Parts: sequence; structure tokens; C-alpha cells
Amino acid sequence: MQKFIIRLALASTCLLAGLVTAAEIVVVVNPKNPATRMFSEQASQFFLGKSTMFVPLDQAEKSQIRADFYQRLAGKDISQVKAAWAKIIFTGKGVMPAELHSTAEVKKAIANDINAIGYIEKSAVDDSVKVILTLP
Amino acid sequence: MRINQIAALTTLSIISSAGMAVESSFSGFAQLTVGRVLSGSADGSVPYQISAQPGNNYKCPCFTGNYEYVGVYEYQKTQLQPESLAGLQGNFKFTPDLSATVQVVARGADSSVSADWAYGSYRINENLTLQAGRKRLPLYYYSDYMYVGYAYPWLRPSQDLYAWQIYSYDGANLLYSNNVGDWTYTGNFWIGKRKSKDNEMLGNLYYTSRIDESWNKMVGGYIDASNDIFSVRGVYMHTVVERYSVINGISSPIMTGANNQIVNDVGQAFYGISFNVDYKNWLMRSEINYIDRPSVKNTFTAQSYSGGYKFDQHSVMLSWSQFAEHADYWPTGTEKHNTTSLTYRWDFATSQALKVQFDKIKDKSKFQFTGDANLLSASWQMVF
Repeated sequence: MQKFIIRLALASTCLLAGLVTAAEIVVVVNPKNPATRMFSEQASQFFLGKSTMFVPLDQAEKSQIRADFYQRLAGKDISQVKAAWAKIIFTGKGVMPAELHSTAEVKKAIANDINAIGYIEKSAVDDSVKVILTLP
Repeated sequence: MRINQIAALTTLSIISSAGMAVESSFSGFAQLTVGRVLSGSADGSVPYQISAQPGNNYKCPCFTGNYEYVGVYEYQKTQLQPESLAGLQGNFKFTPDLSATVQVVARGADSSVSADWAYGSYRINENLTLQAGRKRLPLYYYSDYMYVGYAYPWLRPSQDLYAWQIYSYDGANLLYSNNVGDWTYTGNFWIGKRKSKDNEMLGNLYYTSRIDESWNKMVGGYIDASNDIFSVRGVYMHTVVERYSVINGISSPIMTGANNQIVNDVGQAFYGISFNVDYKNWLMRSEINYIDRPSVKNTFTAQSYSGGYKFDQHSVMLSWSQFAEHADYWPTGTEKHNTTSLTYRWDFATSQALKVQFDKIKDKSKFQFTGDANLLSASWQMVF
């Protein structure tokens, strides 16, 4: 009985700790992509339309992970990201990243395209993707 | 629909001959803008009609919210149509390197629907793209997206600068882009020309007849360097101006030089520099242009300076701009005006902004132009 109570206490503490900590976000690419590690400034070039070397993938517009991603990557809120993209789109310099609706969809798209780059929760990482940046 | 036939055919033939899967994406922008000239004054009696080609007249003192399509707010008249518009852009990708872009805009100012852009794009490599077709003329910092209000802080870019009768070109350009550290460098080199039959700006605001204007042999380039805080841009273009008045179907050259002699094919050099800062909550925008027509000793200087502050979803901008013409051969017929503006912007939702702006224009032209006017305008602007 005592062992069980201790295990339960430990399990509850871990669970609570997990709920309180914000999900860590990682930037991922296809395992066959030659890119290795990347700084935030470099990664932000693909998500803010400054470089077309990789194909950026966004998560759902109103999702928390998307808002957190841009805040941690470049200190920008979603309005600022939209304004930066408006300049790129309406000067014909690029098109908005494709919008996917879940981390599972992002991983599937990355598996299908060696040039794709996306962001997912660190907890969702498996061997179908390669992590090149962990956001602070 | 006004579209150069060659540009349209080129774009359509690329699309139709593709025969492969086409990836298309659409985006758009719109604004609903209302304005009213609250008060104004002029040298003579108020109100007065500004002289223009038959069938066009404006009750002035008035405020030109947009020179390109002549969106004029008349004296003490609440109007929606001078600046309200909606634009739709389609991007069609045929291969990873070949795409076409078309942007169609419907405007209240002249009740028109026109293809502002229609061009094909070929990606040579990661840094270099070749484009051909019709594009907006990138003379100013905001030229490319002048009608996407959401993307800039004021209600409109100052019309003391962003106001020429030719604002697009049919031709080709090479676009270069590179990143070094956190700086992005862009360069663009273009050649082309543009013919405008029955030019609205010249016919409705400056002359009393229909005017056909062509800017030929355009050769221009700009370079731009920016990071998260600063952006600097320099631009130069040379072109040859051809202008005719058309009365009863008969075209005659109308530009003059020394001793009122008729001239045509006038060389024009355009120089511009722009410097902008976005630091923490502060914004600063500045732009200066110099236009020179040496063969007729005619020059124009246009400048705009703005400072602003952003707090959460609200921002405020204070601006001053001026347009001044100098002409050795017609010193008593030159155009000059300056505008002081106060703008409030509220980003109340993602992709939407509400702006309210008060503009005070002082008309110092040596001829009776649009007069001194105070304009209050509000605009709901969005991208989608």
C-alpha cells in the first residue's frame, strides 16, 4: 500500500509538472535534409518569407503552438507576422506557408518533402523527423 | 478591364500550355474608406470648380486621396468611393521554378476593375528571379503594395510623393535577394514602358482635354537593405516622356520647353532614397525623391517624414510631406503643396485594422490647384 501511494504521489507530481511547463517547441526537417543545427535568426528567414531555400509549414492559424512559435522564434505576435507576410505576398516575392491542422499533418508533410521545414512539440518528435533547433 | 494584351496573352499561354498540375494560392486585401473635407480656403471665392477635361469637375477646395486613379474628396462632401477598393491576387505555380501572378483590383475612385499585375516569374536560383509582364513601378518604398493599407502605418502613403501619372510598366525585371546575418538585401533591375491612353490624373486634374501619356525606354533599379529595426532603400530610373493632347480625335504634342516651344520625348531622371526605423515601440519613416527633366529645365522634389509610437494594438503617427516643382520656363505656373497629418491605427483583430487620419494640406501652387483643405478620413483595412 505504501509503495503504491508513493508511486501515485510521484506520478501526480510528474503530471502536474507536465501541465505547468509550456510545451517545448522544436523546428524539424526531413531526416534526409542535409541541414544540421540552425540558429533562430536563420530559421526565422524561412518562416518570415526572407528565404525560399526550404518550404515552410505553418500550424493552424488560431493554434497556441503557432502563436508561441513566432513569439519565441522572433519575438513577434501574429499581427506582426501577418504584416511582414503582407509585404512579401503583395510584392510578389513569395506565398504564405502552407497551413496544416495538426502536428501529425506536419510530420507527414515533412516525410513527403525533403525541403520542408516545420515546427512541432518536442514531445512529438520521433524518427520521421530531424530536430535542427529547439526554441528557448 | 485595362490590361496590356501582350502581358495577358503571355500569362494565359503559360497557364494553358502548362498541361501539368498547377498549384494555386489566393490572397486579397480590401479597404472601406470614408472621408470628408471639413473646411478649406483658397485665394479666390470658395467653393470653386477645378478645371479639367469636359465631363470631369471637382468642387474645391478638395483633397486628392489618390492621384493615380483620381480619388478626390470634394469640398464638404462625405464620400466613400475615392479610396475604397478590393484586390484579389492569384499565384499559380507550374513547376518549383515557374509561376504566374495576377492581381486584380476593383476601385471606387473610377469604378474600374483593373489588372494591376499580370506577370510570369522564373526562379533562376535561390537568389535570382526573372519576371516579365506588367508590374507596378517600384519608384517608392511602398509602391508595390501601395493599395494594401494593412501593411503600412498611415491611412494612405503621402500623396505629395506617391503621385505620378504612370505607376506601372510592361517589361521585364531581375530580382535579387540575399540574407547575411540578420540583414536582408534586395536588388531589382527593370526595363519596360507604359502607355496610358486618356490618362486620368493628367486629364482630370491638370489639363482641360484628354491626355495620352507614354513613358518609354524605362531603365531603372533599386537596392534595399533591411533588418528587424532599420531599412534603407535607394532607387534610380530614367525614362522618356511622350505626351499628347487629344481633341476631336486629333493628337498633338503638348509639352513645352523654352519660349513655349512644343517639345516631346522629354528625358526624365528619377532619384529616390528612403530610411525607416522600427525600434521597440517607435516608428520612423522618411522618403525623398528628386525628378529631373533637364531638356526643359523642370525639376520636382518630394519628401515625407513621419514619427510614431505603437502601444499594444494601437499606434499614432505624425507626418509632414511636401511636393515642390521648379521650372525655369514657367516660374509662375509651378505646383507646390505640403501636408501635415495625424494618424491613429487600431489593430483590433488579426489581419484587420481601423485607421482614422486628419490631414491638413496647404496649397502653395502658383496656379489655382486643389486649395487648402482639412480632411478627416477613416478606413477599415484588411488582408485575407
